[in-house]
Amino acid sequence: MQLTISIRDRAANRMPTGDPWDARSLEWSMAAPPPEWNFATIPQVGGLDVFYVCKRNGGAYRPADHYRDIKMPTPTACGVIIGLPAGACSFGLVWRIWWMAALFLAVAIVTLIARSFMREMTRIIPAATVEAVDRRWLAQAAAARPISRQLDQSPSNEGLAQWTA
Amino acid sequence: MDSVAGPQRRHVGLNLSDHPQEVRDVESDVFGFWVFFMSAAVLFALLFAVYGTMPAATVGAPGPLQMFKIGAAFIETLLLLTSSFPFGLASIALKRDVRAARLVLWLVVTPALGIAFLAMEGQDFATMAADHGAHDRSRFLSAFFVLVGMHGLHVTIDAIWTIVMLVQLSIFGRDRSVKLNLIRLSLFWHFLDIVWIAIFSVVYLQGLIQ
Repeated sequence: MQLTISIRDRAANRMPTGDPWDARSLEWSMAAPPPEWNFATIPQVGGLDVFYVCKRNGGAYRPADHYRDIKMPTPTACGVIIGLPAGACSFGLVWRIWWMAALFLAVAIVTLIARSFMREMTRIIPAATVEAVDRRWLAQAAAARPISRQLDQSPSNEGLAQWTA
Repeated sequence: MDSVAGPQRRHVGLNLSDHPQEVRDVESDVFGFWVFFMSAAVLFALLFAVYGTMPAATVGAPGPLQMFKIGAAFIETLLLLTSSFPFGLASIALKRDVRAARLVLWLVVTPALGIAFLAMEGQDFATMAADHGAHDRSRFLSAFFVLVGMHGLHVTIDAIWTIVMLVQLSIFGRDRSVKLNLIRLSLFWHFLDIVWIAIFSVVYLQGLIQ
């Protein structure tokens, strides 16, 4: 039910800037939903509540000086194709359904071996792409209307919190 | 001999390029594998601890003196420990040899010895089971089969892994990933030999002391 409501009302509840309630820690300092590489540049942490402090000293929502290439793993379904059959194999072992245990163990092992034949396990996201995505989000954040804590439940919350010193 | 320098000296089985990124990647990958098989070491330590409490728990079923045959255990030991030697030669061939044939030869001999070991061990297990010594007969036998069987399972996986590596060698040649997997496989192979030395001493020799 929670999933259904979340999906049904997702348009009204969207808050792309990512910080709906003047949050304190770094996971709120990126877009919602975040890009697959999460942080455009690796954040430097000098204390507790970095994001909270950054917002107050003007360090938040700024482009980085240098964007770098980001190495990401290539998408793969192997984890699921190993994990689910491994679960089914364990079920078969617990309840002594031997054909089930043997079959799904074989599926998991064959997938594991097939995976070892794959090359190109990572791909590079060019710095230009990272920069473009980050700047698009920053522009969106700059255009967003800050929302006060009193109104943070309302659909007008775009994910940019109003903060006071 | 003199041509080996720098990063190559540190990774004995690998003829790496001098690219610092490659050396760093290899270091973290091989370290990750050490962490993994240290967890296997913890598993074996626990199984040894359980086994250590069980020699007297035979509840009327045959005990170590009736079950173990020192001759067979000795030949199994020879087979398995010998299999580390061709893998050592394979590591040297991987590092120095320009021809792949010698590497392939040693990578065939190694699992062949491992499979011979497994065949003998399987026959031992079958004889024991037929001789009133099945795994569910007593706590001692359960502990014995889970400890020695776990080692046998690891050797089986290693043998399969070696055969997969032979196929990869024929497809990819000695690319970085193949070299890295061979170095990890050799670590694991030698590790299982060490575990077997403990099994031979603690399980078989100690079991047969009057």
